Amino acid sequence: AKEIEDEIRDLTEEERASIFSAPEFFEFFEQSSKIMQRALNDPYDYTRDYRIGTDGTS
Amino acid sequence: VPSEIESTLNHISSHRNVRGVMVLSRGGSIIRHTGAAFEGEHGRKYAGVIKKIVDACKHGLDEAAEEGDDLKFVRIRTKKHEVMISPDERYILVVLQHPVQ
Repeated sequence: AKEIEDEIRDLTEEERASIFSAPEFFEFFEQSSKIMQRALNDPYDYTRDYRIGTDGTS
Repeated sequence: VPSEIESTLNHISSHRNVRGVMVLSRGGSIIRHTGAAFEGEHGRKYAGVIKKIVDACKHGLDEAAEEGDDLKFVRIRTKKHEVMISPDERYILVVLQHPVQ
Protein backbone atom coordinates (compact mmCIF):
# COMPACT_ATOMS: atom_id res chain seq x y z
CA ALA A 1 0.00 0.00 0.00
CA LYS A 2 2.86 2.33 0.75
CA GLU A 3 4.22 2.38 -2.78
CA ILE A 4 0.79 3.24 -4.16
CA GLU A 5 0.44 6.22 -1.87
CA ASP A 6 3.83 7.39 -3.02
CA GLU A 7 2.92 6.91 -6.65
CA ILE A 8 -0.22 9.01 -6.48
CA ARG A 9 0.75 12.61 -6.40
CA ASP A 10 -1.26 15.69 -5.55
CA LEU A 11 -2.36 17.79 -8.47
CA THR A 12 -1.24 21.38 -8.77
CA GLU A 13 -3.81 24.18 -9.00
CA GLU A 14 -2.88 24.64 -12.66
CA GLU A 15 -3.53 20.97 -13.37
CA ARG A 16 -6.88 21.17 -11.60
CA ALA A 17 -7.87 24.26 -13.56
CA SER A 18 -7.00 22.64 -16.88
CA ILE A 19 -9.02 19.52 -15.98
CA PHE A 20 -12.06 21.63 -15.09
CA SER A 21 -11.87 23.48 -18.39
CA ALA A 22 -11.46 20.32 -20.51
CA PRO A 23 -14.52 19.34 -22.60
CA GLU A 24 -13.87 15.64 -21.97
CA PHE A 25 -14.01 16.25 -18.24
CA PHE A 26 -17.33 18.02 -18.62
CA GLU A 27 -18.69 15.12 -20.64
CA PHE A 28 -17.45 12.58 -18.10
CA PHE A 29 -18.94 14.53 -15.22
CA GLU A 30 -22.32 14.94 -16.95
CA GLN A 31 -22.63 11.20 -17.51
CA SER A 32 -21.22 9.89 -14.24
CA SER A 33 -23.07 12.36 -12.01
CA LYS A 34 -26.36 11.34 -13.64
CA ILE A 35 -25.62 7.67 -12.92
CA MET A 36 -24.93 8.55 -9.27
CA GLN A 37 -28.06 10.62 -8.90
CA ARG A 38 -30.21 7.84 -10.32
CA ALA A 39 -28.60 5.33 -7.94
CA LEU A 40 -29.06 7.68 -4.97
CA ASN A 41 -32.70 8.25 -5.81
CA ASP A 42 -33.38 4.53 -5.69
CA PRO A 43 -33.68 3.88 -1.95
CA TYR A 44 -34.17 0.13 -2.28
CA ASP A 45 -31.65 -1.80 -0.19
CA TYR A 46 -30.94 -5.04 -2.02
CA THR A 47 -29.09 -6.53 0.95
CA ARG A 48 -32.09 -6.18 3.23
CA ASP A 49 -34.89 -8.70 3.66
CA TYR A 50 -37.99 -6.50 3.50
CA ARG A 51 -40.26 -9.39 4.47
CA ILE A 52 -39.01 -9.27 8.05
CA GLY A 53 -41.51 -7.50 10.27
CA THR A 54 -44.26 -7.11 7.68
CA ASP A 55 -46.40 -9.91 9.09
CA GLY A 56 -46.17 -8.84 12.73
CA THR A 57 -43.17 -11.00 13.56
CA SER A 58 -39.84 -9.33 13.98
CA VAL B 1 -14.33 24.77 -10.07
CA PRO B 2 -17.03 25.71 -12.58
CA SER B 3 -20.27 26.57 -10.77
CA GLU B 4 -22.26 23.97 -12.71
CA ILE B 5 -19.94 21.20 -11.52
CA GLU B 6 -19.82 22.62 -8.00
CA SER B 7 -23.60 22.72 -7.71
CA THR B 8 -23.98 19.14 -8.96
CA LEU B 9 -21.34 18.00 -6.45
CA ASN B 10 -23.15 19.84 -3.67
CA HIS B 11 -26.42 18.31 -4.73
CA ILE B 12 -24.97 14.78 -4.58
CA SER B 13 -23.19 15.52 -1.28
CA SER B 14 -26.34 16.82 0.35
CA HIS B 15 -28.15 13.54 -0.18
CA ARG B 16 -28.91 12.38 3.35
CA ASN B 17 -27.04 9.07 3.17
CA VAL B 18 -23.97 10.43 1.39
CA ARG B 19 -20.78 10.64 3.45
CA GLY B 20 -18.42 11.82 0.76
CA VAL B 21 -17.85 12.45 -2.92
CA MET B 22 -14.55 12.34 -4.81
CA VAL B 23 -13.58 13.19 -8.34
CA LEU B 24 -10.34 11.42 -9.23
CA SER B 25 -8.03 11.25 -12.17
CA ARG B 26 -7.75 7.76 -13.59
CA GLY B 27 -4.33 7.59 -11.94
CA GLY B 28 -5.89 8.11 -8.50
CA SER B 29 -5.09 11.78 -7.86
CA ILE B 30 -7.86 13.68 -6.10
CA ILE B 31 -9.27 16.45 -8.29
CA ARG B 32 -12.04 17.47 -5.91
CA HIS B 33 -13.58 15.97 -2.79
CA THR B 34 -16.38 16.71 -0.34
CA GLY B 35 -17.35 15.17 3.00
CA ALA B 36 -15.41 14.32 6.14
CA ALA B 37 -15.02 10.69 5.00
CA PHE B 38 -12.62 11.74 2.25
CA GLU B 39 -10.64 14.33 4.20
CA GLY B 40 -6.84 14.33 4.40
CA GLU B 41 -4.69 11.22 4.51
CA HIS B 42 -7.69 8.91 4.74
CA GLY B 43 -9.10 10.41 1.57
CA ARG B 44 -5.83 9.84 -0.25
CA LYS B 45 -5.70 6.24 0.92
CA TYR B 46 -9.29 5.77 -0.23
CA ALA B 47 -8.47 7.26 -3.62
CA GLY B 48 -5.63 4.76 -4.06
CA VAL B 49 -7.93 1.87 -3.18
CA ILE B 50 -10.60 3.08 -5.63
CA LYS B 51 -7.99 3.28 -8.36
CA LYS B 52 -6.95 -0.31 -7.64
CA ILE B 53 -10.56 -1.49 -7.75
CA VAL B 54 -11.15 0.21 -11.10
CA ASP B 55 -7.88 -1.25 -12.46
CA ALA B 56 -8.91 -4.74 -11.33
CA CYS B 57 -12.41 -4.45 -12.83
CA LYS B 58 -11.04 -3.11 -16.07
CA HIS B 59 -8.46 -5.86 -16.22
CA GLY B 60 -11.13 -8.50 -15.70
CA LEU B 61 -13.38 -6.90 -18.27
CA ASP B 62 -10.60 -6.77 -20.83
CA GLU B 63 -10.07 -10.48 -20.40
CA ALA B 64 -13.65 -11.62 -20.39
CA ALA B 65 -15.82 -9.10 -22.19
CA GLU B 66 -16.46 -8.60 -25.84
CA GLU B 67 -14.45 -5.98 -27.57
CA GLY B 68 -15.72 -2.43 -27.43
CA ASP B 69 -17.38 -2.92 -24.07
CA ASP B 70 -16.41 -0.59 -21.25
CA LEU B 71 -16.74 -0.25 -17.49
CA LYS B 72 -19.50 2.20 -16.49
CA PHE B 73 -20.54 1.64 -12.92
CA VAL B 74 -19.28 -0.36 -9.93
CA ARG B 75 -21.26 -0.70 -6.75
CA ILE B 76 -19.74 -2.31 -3.65
CA ARG B 77 -21.88 -2.97 -0.63
CA THR B 78 -20.45 -3.88 2.75
CA LYS B 79 -22.26 -4.25 6.07
CA LYS B 80 -21.83 -0.57 6.86
CA HIS B 81 -21.21 1.26 3.63
CA GLU B 82 -21.78 1.40 -0.04
CA VAL B 83 -19.24 2.71 -2.49
CA MET B 84 -20.40 3.67 -5.95
CA ILE B 85 -17.82 4.22 -8.66
CA SER B 86 -18.34 5.58 -12.15
CA PRO B 87 -15.15 5.63 -14.25
CA ASP B 88 -14.23 6.56 -17.77
CA GLU B 89 -10.80 6.41 -19.46
CA ARG B 90 -9.54 9.55 -17.74
CA TYR B 91 -11.55 10.20 -14.58
CA ILE B 92 -13.44 8.49 -11.76
CA LEU B 93 -16.44 9.70 -9.77
CA VAL B 94 -16.82 8.11 -6.32
CA VAL B 95 -19.73 8.37 -3.88
CA LEU B 96 -19.63 6.85 -0.40
CA GLN B 97 -22.97 6.26 1.18
CA HIS B 98 -24.10 4.96 4.49
CA PRO B 99 -27.41 3.24 3.82
CA VAL B 100 -30.09 3.81 6.44
CA GLN B 101 -30.75 0.82 8.66
